[in-house]
Amino acid sequence: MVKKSVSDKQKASNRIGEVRCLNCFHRYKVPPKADKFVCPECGWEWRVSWVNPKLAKVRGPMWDKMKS
Amino acid sequence: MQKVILVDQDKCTGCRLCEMVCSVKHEGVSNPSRASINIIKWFMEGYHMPMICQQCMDAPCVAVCPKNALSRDEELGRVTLDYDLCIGCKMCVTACPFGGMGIDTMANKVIKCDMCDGDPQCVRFCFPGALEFVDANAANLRKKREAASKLAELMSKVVAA
Amino acid sequence: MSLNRKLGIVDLSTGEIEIKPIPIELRKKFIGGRGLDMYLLYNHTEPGIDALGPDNVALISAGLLSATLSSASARTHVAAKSPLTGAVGSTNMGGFFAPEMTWAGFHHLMLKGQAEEPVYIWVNDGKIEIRDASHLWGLSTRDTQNTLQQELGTEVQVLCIGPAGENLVRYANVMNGIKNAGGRSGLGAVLGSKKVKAVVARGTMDVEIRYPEEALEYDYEVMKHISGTKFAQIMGKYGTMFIQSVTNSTGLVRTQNFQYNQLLDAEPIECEHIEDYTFGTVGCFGCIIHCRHRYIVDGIYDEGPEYTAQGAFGWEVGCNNFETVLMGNHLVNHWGLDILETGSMMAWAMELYEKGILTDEDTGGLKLEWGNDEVVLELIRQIAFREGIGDILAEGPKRAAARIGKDSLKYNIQVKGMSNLHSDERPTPALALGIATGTRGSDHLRSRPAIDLYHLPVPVLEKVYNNPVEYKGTFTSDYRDYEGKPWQVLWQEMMYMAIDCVGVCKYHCTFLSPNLMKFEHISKFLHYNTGLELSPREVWEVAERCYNIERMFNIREGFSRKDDWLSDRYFDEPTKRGLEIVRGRTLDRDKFNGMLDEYYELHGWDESGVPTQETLERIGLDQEPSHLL
Repeated sequence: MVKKSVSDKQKASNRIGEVRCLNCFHRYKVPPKADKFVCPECGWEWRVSWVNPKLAKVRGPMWDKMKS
Repeated sequence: MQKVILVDQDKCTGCRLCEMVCSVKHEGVSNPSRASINIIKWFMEGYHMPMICQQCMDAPCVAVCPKNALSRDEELGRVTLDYDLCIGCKMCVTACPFGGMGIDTMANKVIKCDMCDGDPQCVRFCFPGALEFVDANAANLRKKREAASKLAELMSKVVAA
Repeated sequence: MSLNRKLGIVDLSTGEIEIKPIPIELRKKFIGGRGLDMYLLYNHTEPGIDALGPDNVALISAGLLSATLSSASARTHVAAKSPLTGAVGSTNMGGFFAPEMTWAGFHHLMLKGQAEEPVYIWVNDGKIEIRDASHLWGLSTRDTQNTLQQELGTEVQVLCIGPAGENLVRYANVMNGIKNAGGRSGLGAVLGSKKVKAVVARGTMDVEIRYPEEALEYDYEVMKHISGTKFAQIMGKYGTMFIQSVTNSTGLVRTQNFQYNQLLDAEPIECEHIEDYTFGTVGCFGCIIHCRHRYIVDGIYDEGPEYTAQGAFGWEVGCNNFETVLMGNHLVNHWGLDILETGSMMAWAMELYEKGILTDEDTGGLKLEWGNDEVVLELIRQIAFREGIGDILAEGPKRAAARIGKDSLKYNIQVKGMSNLHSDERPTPALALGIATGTRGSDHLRSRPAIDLYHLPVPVLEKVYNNPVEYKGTFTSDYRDYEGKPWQVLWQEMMYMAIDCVGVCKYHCTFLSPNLMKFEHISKFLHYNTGLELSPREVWEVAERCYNIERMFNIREGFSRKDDWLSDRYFDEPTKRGLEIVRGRTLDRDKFNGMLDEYYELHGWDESGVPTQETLERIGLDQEPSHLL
C-alpha cells in the first residue's frame, strides 16, 4: 500500500471514533460508549453502536422522528 | 526463551491462510498438502480447528524414531527433525497422536512444524489471532486473562443489576 | 506455476474429455477467471442458442491468482449464456472451490453438451472423470456436499446445485459450502439442464510462487493495511449487513418492491442483532476480513446473512423480523436459489397481488401480503420446487410477466430481464447508471461506485479515479449529481473486472472503501506470485478488453442502447420517504441520457452502445472470435 507520512497517520487515527452524519455528511467524534448523538451541524439525532471500544458507527435514526 | 504456538479455536475463521503461508515459506509453493499446519473442519456444524505439531515435551515421535533423527530442542522448545539422519520410515507419523507429522509426497520426506526457527509465519498471518506465539512461561496467563475477561464481563452485569 | 494451470473440456453428450494448456498470449490478453471465461464463452457459443439446451457451455474457473499470496484469492467464477436474461451469464462466489481446483491442476473447466442421466465431475490432480450422480439428484446443496465428502473424503471441495437448479428455476444458484453462492444469472439452471449435479475438486499439486519471500512480505503488508481499515473492522464484525445502517437510515433501499425507499421502524433487522445468534465469523480461503457469521436459527446451522438477505426477506417484502432474514437466507442457499432474484420476484408478486393483478386464484390461496413472514418462507419453497405460483415466478421477470400479462412487467424493477438489488437508485444517478449498463443485467457488482455514497472530498475522488487512466472532467462529492459519474461507473467496471480476472474478492479492492486494492496492487501481486509482468495500465487494458468482449456477446445476442435503460418508475415516481436530501427524488430522463452518451463515448462505443471498429482495434478485439483456445 502507499506509504503514509506521520501526519497522515495522525490524521487517520484522529478519525477513529468519528462517524459521518448521514443527513449533512459532517464528520463528528462520538464520546466513548455513547449510544446516541446529535449532529452539531444539522441537529439530526442518530443511534450509535460500537464495533470495538475505539470504533463507532451509525446504527440508525430515531425512528419515531423519521416522518413516514 | 521457550515459546509455544497457542491455538484459540474460537477465533479461527477457517480461512486456511496458515496452510498456504506454511508451504510457501518452507517449499516456495502454495500447497496445503505440504503444509505442517492444517485446519480440520466440520462444515455442516461450522466448527474448525487448526491442527499443528504440539512440540511435545516427551514426544512419541522422538521415542519411536529408530535413527534418532528427531530430538527435543530445549532452547526453542521444539522437536526438531534432522533430515540427514531420517530414513523416511514414517514411524513418527504412526506414533503422533495429533497428526503433527506429515508426509510430503512431492519431496518424498516426512514434514513437521519447525516454528520457522522462531518466527512462525502461520502466526504472523493469523489476523483473527487464533494462533499466538507466546512465552511458554506465560502461556497459562494468556488463557487466564481470556477467561478472566469473560468472567469480568459477567461480573459487571451482576454488579450493575 | 499458476500460468501452467489448464483448461479441461468435458463433453457431456459424448463423454469425451480434453485437457489443454492455456497459451501465454491469452493470459496476457485476458489474464484468467472472468476475463478468460468471457473469451471462451464468446468463442464457443453461437448467437441465439437456447441457454438451457446442449449448445450452451458452462464455464467454471479460478482466477490467475487463485491459491496464491494475494489477499483472499478465493473466488470461483461461473459463466454461460444466462437462462434468465439471454445476455452474458456470469456469477462469482467465495469459498474454497477455486483454490482446490487450482491445486488439482486446472483454472478453467468447460462443460459442453448434455448428459442423459445425472452426473458429477471429478477433478483430481490433473485428471477429470464423469461419474454417476443418480444418488445425489434431489438432494439439497448441503446434503449433496455432505454425501460427496463422506464418499470421497472431507478434504474435497464441491460446487453443486440444489433442487432449484434441477428444476431449472431460471435464477438457480451454484453453491460451495454452506454459504458461498454464485446466484446471479441463474447458472445453476444451466448445470441442471446439463444434468451436472456437482463438480468435485481435490488437488495436491504445487502452485509455484514466483518470488516466495517477496510475495510473503508484500501480501503481509497489504493484509495488515486492509485489516487496519475502518471498513475491514466493521465488515469483520457485522458483514455486509452494516450497509443497511447507511442505506436504510438514509432512504436508499427498495421497499415493498418499489413503492417506498425506506423500511420504517427497522430497528428489529439492524445488523447489531446478529450478536444474539452468532458464535463467530467465517472466512473464505485466505481472507482476513471474514464477513459471514456462523449462526443457529430454529436449531439449524447456517452462515451469513448478508445485506441482500435483509433486503430480500426484510424491506422488499415488508417484513421486520430478524429471524425471517436468517431463515430466508438458509432456505435459498439450502435449495439453491439466487437470494437477490428470489426476494425481488416475491416483492413484485406482492405488489401485483396488492394491485389485484394477481388474485387468490393465481396464488392458490396464498395471501401475498406485505410483512407476512410465513408466506414469504413458503413462497421460497414454492419457487424452488416450482409449485403453484412459484412455477411462474421461477421463470424470472420477463417470462413471468408474459404469463401474468396485464401490464405486470412495468412494476418489475429489472434491467435486461434481471432484477435489481434491493436498493433504490432514484437519488443516486451514478448507481443508477451502473445498474442500467451492467452487462449481466441490473446489478451492483459490475460497476457500482459505492463509495459515491460516502460524500468523499473531491481530492480523494480525484486520487482514486484518475489512476491509472486520467479523467478529463470533474468530480462532485454529492451523490445526487450527474457530473463525473459516467467515468466513476467505467472505472469501477474496470476495477471489478480486473479483480474478477485474478480471482480475488471485491471486498479487498476499491468497492466499499476507497482505501483498498487498486490496479497497482494487482500488478504487483501478479509479479510476485506468477511472474506475469503487467503494469497497472496494462491491467486496466486487460479489464477493458474483457469488459468489451462481454459487451460484444450481448450485442451479438441483440442487446443495444434500449436495454441500458431503467424502468419508467425511476423517472416518474418520486421517492416518498427518508431524509430530506433523498425525498421527492426521481431521475431526470434527459440528464440520464446525457450520462449514457458520455459513458458510451468514454468507452469508445457508438451512440447505440456498440464498440466502434477503431475501439476494437485499439484493444485488440477486432479478430474475434479468434479461436485460440
